[in-house]
Amino acid sequence: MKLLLPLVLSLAAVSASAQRPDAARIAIRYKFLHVRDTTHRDRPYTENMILLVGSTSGVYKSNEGPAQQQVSNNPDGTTRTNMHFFGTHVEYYQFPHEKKLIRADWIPMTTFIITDALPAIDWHIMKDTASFGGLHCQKATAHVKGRDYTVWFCPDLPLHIGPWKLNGLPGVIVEAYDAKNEVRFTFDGVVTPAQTAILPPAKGVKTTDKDFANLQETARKDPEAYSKLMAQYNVGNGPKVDIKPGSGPVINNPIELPEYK
Amino acid sequence: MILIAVAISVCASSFGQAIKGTIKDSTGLGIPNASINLRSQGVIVAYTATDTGGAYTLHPPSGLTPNDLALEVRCIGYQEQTIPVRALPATIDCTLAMSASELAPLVIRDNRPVLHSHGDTLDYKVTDFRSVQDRVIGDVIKRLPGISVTSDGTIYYNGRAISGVYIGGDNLLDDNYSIATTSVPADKVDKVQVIDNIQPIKVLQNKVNTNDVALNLVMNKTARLHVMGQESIGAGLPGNYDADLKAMAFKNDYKAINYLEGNNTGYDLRQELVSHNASAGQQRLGADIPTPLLSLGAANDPALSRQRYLFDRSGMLNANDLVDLRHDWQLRLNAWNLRDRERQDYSQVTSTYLPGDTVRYAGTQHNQLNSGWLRAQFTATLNSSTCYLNNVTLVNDNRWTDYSHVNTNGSPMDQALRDNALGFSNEFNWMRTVESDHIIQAYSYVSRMTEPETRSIGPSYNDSLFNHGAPYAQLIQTVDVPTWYTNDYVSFKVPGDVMTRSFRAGFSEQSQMLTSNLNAAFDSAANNLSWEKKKAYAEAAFDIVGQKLRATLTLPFTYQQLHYADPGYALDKKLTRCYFNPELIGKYKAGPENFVTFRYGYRNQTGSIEDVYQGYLLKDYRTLSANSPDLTLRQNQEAATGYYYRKAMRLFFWSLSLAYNRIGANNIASDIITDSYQRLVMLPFRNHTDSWTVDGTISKYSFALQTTFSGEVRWQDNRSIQFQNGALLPFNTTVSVLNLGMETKWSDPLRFSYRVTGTRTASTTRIDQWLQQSTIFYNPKPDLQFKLSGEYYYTHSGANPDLNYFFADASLRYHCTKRNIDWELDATNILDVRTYKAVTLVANTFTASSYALPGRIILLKIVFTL
Repeated sequence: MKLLLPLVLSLAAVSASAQRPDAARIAIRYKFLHVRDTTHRDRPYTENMILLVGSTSGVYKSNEGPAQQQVSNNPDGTTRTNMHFFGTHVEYYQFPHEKKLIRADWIPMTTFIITDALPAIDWHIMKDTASFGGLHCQKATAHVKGRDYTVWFCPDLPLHIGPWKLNGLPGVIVEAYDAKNEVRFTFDGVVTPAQTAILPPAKGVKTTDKDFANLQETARKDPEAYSKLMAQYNVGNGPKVDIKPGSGPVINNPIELPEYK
Repeated sequence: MILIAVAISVCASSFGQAIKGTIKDSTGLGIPNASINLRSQGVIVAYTATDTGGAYTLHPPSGLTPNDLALEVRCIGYQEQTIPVRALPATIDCTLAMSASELAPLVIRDNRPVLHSHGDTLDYKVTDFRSVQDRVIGDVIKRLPGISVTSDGTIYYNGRAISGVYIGGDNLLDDNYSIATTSVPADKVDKVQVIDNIQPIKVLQNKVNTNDVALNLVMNKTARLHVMGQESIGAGLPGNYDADLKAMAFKNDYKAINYLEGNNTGYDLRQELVSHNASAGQQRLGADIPTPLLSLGAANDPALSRQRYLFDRSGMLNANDLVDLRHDWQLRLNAWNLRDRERQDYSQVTSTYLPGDTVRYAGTQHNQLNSGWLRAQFTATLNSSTCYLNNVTLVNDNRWTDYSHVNTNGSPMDQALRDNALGFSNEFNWMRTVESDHIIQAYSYVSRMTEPETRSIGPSYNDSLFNHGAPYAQLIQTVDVPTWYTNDYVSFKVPGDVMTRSFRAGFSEQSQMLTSNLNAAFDSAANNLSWEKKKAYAEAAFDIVGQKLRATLTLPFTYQQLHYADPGYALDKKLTRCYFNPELIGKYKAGPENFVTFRYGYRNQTGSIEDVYQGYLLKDYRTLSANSPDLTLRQNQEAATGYYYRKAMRLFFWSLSLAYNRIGANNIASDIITDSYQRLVMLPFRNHTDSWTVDGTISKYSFALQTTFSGEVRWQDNRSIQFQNGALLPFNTTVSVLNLGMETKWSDPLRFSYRVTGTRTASTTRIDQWLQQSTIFYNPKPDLQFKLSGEYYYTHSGANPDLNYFFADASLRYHCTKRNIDWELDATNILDVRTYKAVTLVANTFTASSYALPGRIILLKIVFTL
């Protein structure tokens, strides 16, 4: 608790991002699959995801629909709100021209913004070609964050982006999977998005990858301490929050694996 | 508006093979972050992006040939440009014009099929094309864009017949691939691969060409782990049954398709046993397989799908097993035993138009055909990169006992035909690489075949001709042609960088004896003809295996000695000849996905023992046949060319081919046709037959309409001459076929297919036939499926009344998930059509036939998946 206080206080609230707004022109849908628990390979985590592609940037996020709120009045006069969230909350904004990656993540009630450099990936282009939903694609392979990926990119969409942190090919990556078939971004169609600007959340707490991981860990292990922290941080900013997260899934096989050399 | 200034200059750069330059907009400002892609044969091989000033430097990988390189410049908001790269290194500057749309317009739709091409292989993902009603993989293959399947199950890929269907890369079935397409469950196959230029012999890979194209079924994980079983039992009205029990395995080291099935619903089990490349196989062996000489003279089969007219009761046990042993060895067994009883009720009027005369036969037939077919083939194969060994042992026993009651031009008679074909063969083929990459080969083929045939006709059939006008009991014709054949050679192949040279030397020997007897009261009704054909040959062959050009030139020289004798006719002839039968086959790759093929062949063909017997043979009750003592020698010239185009990513295929065939012969068949019989004699008269074939196919999947459209146009023209009743008559037959089809998915529960085939046969008269077939598939729930189909046959021929036939079928299937059982209710020929009339035209012979059909069948079936 004492250790965390200065950490939180050091976080600076940011206003609107400095990015010029970029309109989404086209969107790629993916079926995301992740074997989180290797003892239950038959029950991988799956989620519908979407990559909105603009002319200079893109965002990859959940496509499971918005959170649902259920408000009920308690007999004692207080109001109780039940929120059901679908899918994950993390959003990856890729700005290939600036080689910048902005990750917007969420721990209940607070959005965090983490800015990083886009990972530089050493791709090997293959001669294989395939068509995904009418998009002409070519194959490439690379070792990214501990896994060997095979991806298919579309040179007709000449923005060097892709789902998650995958980027750097001369076209949007429309399908990707790792050699062990534990992480898959399976192509699930192309759609025209509604009028959407690709903009990281205007309000959010700027932080770093490491600090965010610490906060997340705290929220999971000691939710009470975390909610007190946040309440302190959002002084007079809202209702009292009582967070009761579930037991959480077992993740013994993260997407990013440590490199053994 | 569009300002394009492309400056290509080649300079000796200190950068090695780099391409560099600057990309600017029309105002002269550098465009940052533009994609620079270097394409070779259409695929990206290197890429980079421009810096803030619009400059770029690209380092191409080594080993590229500059003449098929192109630099592609793309940037959102600008029009893309492609610039050919003529030399390396290069400096390429480029100005891009602004574009109104920020991303290239894309037709957008979800869940569209994916086609994956790599090198000579094309992958179709089964889930993209499969409908829930497709039970077996053959149902899916039929609807793949670029692939067509004929009514006998032969599969064509972009206009070319495939050589086989591999399962998980293994050859389980040779060319009897209908066994796989009618039994492998569609939901167990992950991908259907088309492999072009397949060379299954590892020793010869990249050294000796093949122009074969084959399919490979890539099974999914569950299929590769478990042995599968399926059982179905059906019973219906009127008195019909249908049952089968299947056990299949598609493991990496063990593949099997074993089943037991039987029915009397008209489903012909023989259609699963079709050898789709029989003629190519025969040519490889160099053997003339003797064909049956006698028949019942039954009417031709009607031009309906077989299930519509077949009255039969058949059962079959079929076992196909392949085991992968260690060290590249495989053992395989293919065996079947088929029992079949078929019934036919036909009536027929045949008219032969002769100058100034028309000869007519009218008759009815009630036939019963009983057959038992046992065939077992054992194959042992070693296939490694240094050694190849293949030994195939085959035993074949095919027996027929047929009865026929015939009434021809008012006189009744009974026929019985017994035909017991028995054959044994062994084919041994061994190759290995020896020092400095040369390949040696030894090959041996031995076969023994007999086919005794006996046919009796009675009573008092045509006594004026066969018994001086006196009544008699039976006319019996017997014939048998026991045959020994062997073909053996050794060869030596020298692979080179550009060309593989092969040299081959060997010999073949065919020894036959034709004995026949007809108990008729006239001379020349028996044969005792011996036949000995010996060949020694030497051959040089050249295979060019280039990136663009693949060609094979074969130059064989043959020395042939022939001796045939029949003491009964004082016949004793010897013939010694030298032959040169060159052949050139080639394929030129005009682009990454299109190619041109060409073929020329000249072959000398010597007639067979069936062309020189001099005693009369009553081939069927109307045909008496005999030959002149001189052997028929034929010169067969074939020339063919074709263009095959594919755009896999757009699922677009088309092909156009042209073939010419000319056969010259020194003998001609002369028919003497009378009201009661036809006498066939060979006469020495130089003649030739010419035929032209033009064939075009097209297939395209429309992403917007979720529909596969396909079409074919074929035109065939045959010209020959024939002697009939002493007059020399020209025979010209032209057949034109138009075929259009579509397979569409309206929505998830609703699918529709439609096909129309028009055939025009023109000779002395003209027959037009149209066949329309359509099917609606409706799946209101995942476990409930409904199918309704209709077939409409229309025939128009001259002044004859038009023939119209409509057949309707329906089926309903319910899947009970709890017990994993399917219930199926099938109704065939709902409108209960009982007779079918047809007209056919071959040269100047016009036949009008009438066939009895089985009528409506309703069948309830239960399918268990084990």
